[in-house]
Amino acid sequence: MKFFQRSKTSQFYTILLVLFFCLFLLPYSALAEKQGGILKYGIPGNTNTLDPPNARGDADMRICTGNIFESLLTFHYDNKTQKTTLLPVLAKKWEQSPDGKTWTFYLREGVKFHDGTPFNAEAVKYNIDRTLKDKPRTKFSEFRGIIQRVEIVEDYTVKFHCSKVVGHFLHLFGVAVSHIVSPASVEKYGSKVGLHPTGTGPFKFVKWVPGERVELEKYNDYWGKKAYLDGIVYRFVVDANARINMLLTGELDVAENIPLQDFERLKKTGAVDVRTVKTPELFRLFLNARTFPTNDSRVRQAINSAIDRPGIISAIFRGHAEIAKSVVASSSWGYYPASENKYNPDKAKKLLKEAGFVDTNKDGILEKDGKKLSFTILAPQAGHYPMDQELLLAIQQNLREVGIEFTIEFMEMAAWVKRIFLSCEEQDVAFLVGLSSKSHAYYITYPHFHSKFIGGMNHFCYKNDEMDKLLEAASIEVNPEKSYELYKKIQILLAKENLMINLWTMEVATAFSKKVHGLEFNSLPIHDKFKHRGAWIE
Amino acid sequence: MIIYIIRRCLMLFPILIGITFISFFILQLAPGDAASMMAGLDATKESIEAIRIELGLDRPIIVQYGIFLKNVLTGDLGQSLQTQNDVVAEIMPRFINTIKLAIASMVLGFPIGLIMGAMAALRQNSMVDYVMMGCVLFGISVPIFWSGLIYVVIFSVYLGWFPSGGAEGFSSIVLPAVTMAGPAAAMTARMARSSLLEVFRQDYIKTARAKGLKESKVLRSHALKNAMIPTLTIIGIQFGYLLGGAVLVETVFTWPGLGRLIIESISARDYPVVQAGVMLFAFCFVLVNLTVDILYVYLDPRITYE
Repeated sequence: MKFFQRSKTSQFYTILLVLFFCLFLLPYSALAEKQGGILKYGIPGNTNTLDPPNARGDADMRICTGNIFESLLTFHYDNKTQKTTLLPVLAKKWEQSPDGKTWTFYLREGVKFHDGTPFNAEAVKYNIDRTLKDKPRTKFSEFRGIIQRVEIVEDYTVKFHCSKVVGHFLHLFGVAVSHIVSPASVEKYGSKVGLHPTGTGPFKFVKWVPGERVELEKYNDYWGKKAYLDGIVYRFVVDANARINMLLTGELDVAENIPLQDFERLKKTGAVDVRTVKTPELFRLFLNARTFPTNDSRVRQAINSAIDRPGIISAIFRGHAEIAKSVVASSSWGYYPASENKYNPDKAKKLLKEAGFVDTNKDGILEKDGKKLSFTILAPQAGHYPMDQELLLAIQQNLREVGIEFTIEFMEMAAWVKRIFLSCEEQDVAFLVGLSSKSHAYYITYPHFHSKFIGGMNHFCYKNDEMDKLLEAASIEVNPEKSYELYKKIQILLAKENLMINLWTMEVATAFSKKVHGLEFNSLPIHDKFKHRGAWIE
Repeated sequence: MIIYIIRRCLMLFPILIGITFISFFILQLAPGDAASMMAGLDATKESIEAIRIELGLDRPIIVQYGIFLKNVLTGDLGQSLQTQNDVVAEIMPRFINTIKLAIASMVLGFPIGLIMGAMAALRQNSMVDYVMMGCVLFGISVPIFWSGLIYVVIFSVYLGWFPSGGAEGFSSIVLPAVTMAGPAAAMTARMARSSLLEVFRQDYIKTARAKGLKESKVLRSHALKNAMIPTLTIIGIQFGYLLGGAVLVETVFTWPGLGRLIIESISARDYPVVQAGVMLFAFCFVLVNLTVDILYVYLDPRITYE
C-alpha cells in the first residue's frame, strides 16, 4: 500500500491533518440543536400570579413574559454594543402620526392563543381596555393616563389615541402589563385569570402547584420558530444552598441567583457552568434633601465622594459589580455616564469644611452649630439585597473616615416598604434601595425627581424648577436624538445634586448544567433573559 | 368519656376564636400593610390607596375582624391577597405535605426513641447507656438546618440515593423525615429513660421482681405502661412541634409545607392566608392534645374524666 510506503513524517502529518479536521467537525456535530427534553429551572422565590398586568417580581415575570405571553414588541439589549433595539413580536410594524399623539400598529396575522382564540386587533383592544378600566383588576397600568382610546381600524390594524405626546411610548410595550392575554380566558376566569394563563407564546401553561412548581409545555401551533424543548418545569427553591445542591444532583438544569462565594466551587465540578449578567437594578442611597444634615448639597456630594466603590466592589462583590455613573443603569435607554463617582476622601473633607462642619469635640465626627453630622439609613431585612450588611458596614467605615456618622437600621420588609412610602416631609431618614431603571431613562427620572411627586415617589423632597422643565420636555420629546440630549442634561444635573447616591449594579449569576445550551443572558430584566424558545438540552 | 370528648371538642371554638383574635390584631399592629406590599416599590400613593379600599383595609380594624369572623362562620375563608386563589385551595396541598412529613418523622422517630430510652434505662450506667445518651445529646444539640444540609451533601450530592429537594414521590420524604426525626427521637429517648428509671425504683416493681417474674414480663406489663404516661405527653408536644416547627427543614429541602407558606404570607401581609394557617395549626395542636388525654385513660385506668 502506498500509504505505508510514505515516509514516517508525511504519515504523521496526514494523520495530524485528519485529526485537525475532526476537531472542526466535533464541536459542530455536538452543538446541533436537539429537539425534546424538559428544562428543569430553579428560581429563588414563589410565583404569585401568572397574569401579566398583575405580575410583579422576577418569579412571575420570568415565567410569563416571552414564554407564555408576548407583547407587541420586545427589546433586545446587546451586551457588546450596549445598545437597545426594538424588535417586532406580535406587531409587524408601527408608526406614529405627525402630531405624535396617535400610534398605528400593524399586527401579525395567523397567530392563535393557546386556547384557540384568534389574535387580532380586537384582542389588543380588549387587553388595553382591561387595564384602562381596571376590570378585572390590574395592579399595574402604565397605559392609564396615556392611552385614551383604542381604535380597531381593520382586523389586524389597531390605533392608540393618546391624550398627550409621550416620549417613551414604545417602551410601554416592554413592561409586563403590555403582554397580550387571551380575551376568552379573561372572560372565563375573571379575577382568577392569573391561575389560568393563556397567551400566544412558544410555551403553554400546564400546571401550577403552589409553592412548588409551574409546568409549561411546548406550544405546537406557535407562529414563529418553535421551541426545541418539550417543556419547562420551574421549581421554586428559596434557599440558595438547596438550589446549588439540586443542580449538582441533576434535579435542576438551571439555578438562578447563585451567591458569589459559590462560583469557583461550582466551576470546579466540571459539569456546571456559571454566567453572570448585569442587571438594570442599581443600588442606591436615598438622601433626604429637606432635613439636616443631608439638606446641604455639599454634604451629599461629600458622601458620594467618600464612598470607596472600587474597593467595596472588589472586596465584597469579588469584582462582580459595575460602578454606577448615573441614576440610569447603563443597560437602560438614555444612559449617560454623568459622573465618574471617583473615590476622593480629600474632596469630601474639603466640601464638609466648606459647608462649615468641624470636629469641635474631637470624637471623629464633625459638627455644625452643635449638631452632629449624623443620620440613619433604613434597609430592608438583612439579606434581602445581596451582601447588604457587609456593604453598609463598609460604607459606614468610609464615611466615618471623613467624619460622617450614620446608624443602620434593618427593618422587616413590610415595615420598610411602609416607611419608604411615608413622605420625605414626615421623616428624616435615608434608605438603602435596589431600584431598576427599567428599559428607559424616563422611569427613574420623571416620577422620582419631579416636584409634583413630593409626598409620593419623590422620596427626596427635591424641588428644582429647571429639573421640572427638563423632565417635562424630555417626557414629550419623540425625536430620539433630542430626547437623548434632554436625558443627558437631566443626568448631569442629578449627578451634581447627589440625592440618589448611586452605588453599583450587581451582576446576577446563573449556574447551569453544561448539557443546557441556548440560554439567553440579557441585561433587561423582563425581556429576552428569560425566554427559553432557543434553549435545548444535549 | 364521650361527654368529656364532646366537651373538649366544644372548647375548640373559644380557643380558635381567641387565636384568630390575637393573630389578627398582632398582624394589624405590625407596621406595613398588604396594599403597599402588593403595589411594589414604584407604585404611586393613589394606586396603593385604591388597593387598600378594594381590600377593605381602610375600614376600622374591629369591623375588618367582624367581617372576617362572619365569613369564617359561613365557611368562607376568603382569597389570598397575593394569588387571588381561594385560601383553602392555597393551604390544603401545603397542609397535606406538612402532615405527611410530621407523620413520617413521628413513625420514624418515636419507636427509635422509645427503644433507645428503654435500652439505656435497663442498662443504666453501662456502656450502652453512655452511647445512647451520647447520641441523644447529639440529636438534641445539632440544629436541624445543619444536619439537613449534611444529609443532603452525603446522601444526595455524593451518593445520589435520594433527591435533595422537592416533594415528588416517596424517596423525597426520606431525608427531611430523617432530619426531623433526629431531635424527636432524642427527646423521646431521654424522657423514656428517665421515666423508666423512676418506675424501676417503685415498690411494685420490687414486688414483681420478688415474686419471681421474668425481667421481660416486668418490663412489659409493669414498667413500660407506667413510664409511658410522661413519655406520651412529650410525644404529643413533639408532634405539635413537628407540625409547626418544620420551617427550617422545609427551607433546606424545598418541602412545600404550611410553615413556609405562613412565613411568606406574613412577610407579604397576606392576612387571609396567615389567619387560616394559624387556625389550622391551632386546631391540630388541640386535636393532638385531646388524643393524648384520651390515650392516658387506656394506659392508666386510674385516670378518668368523669
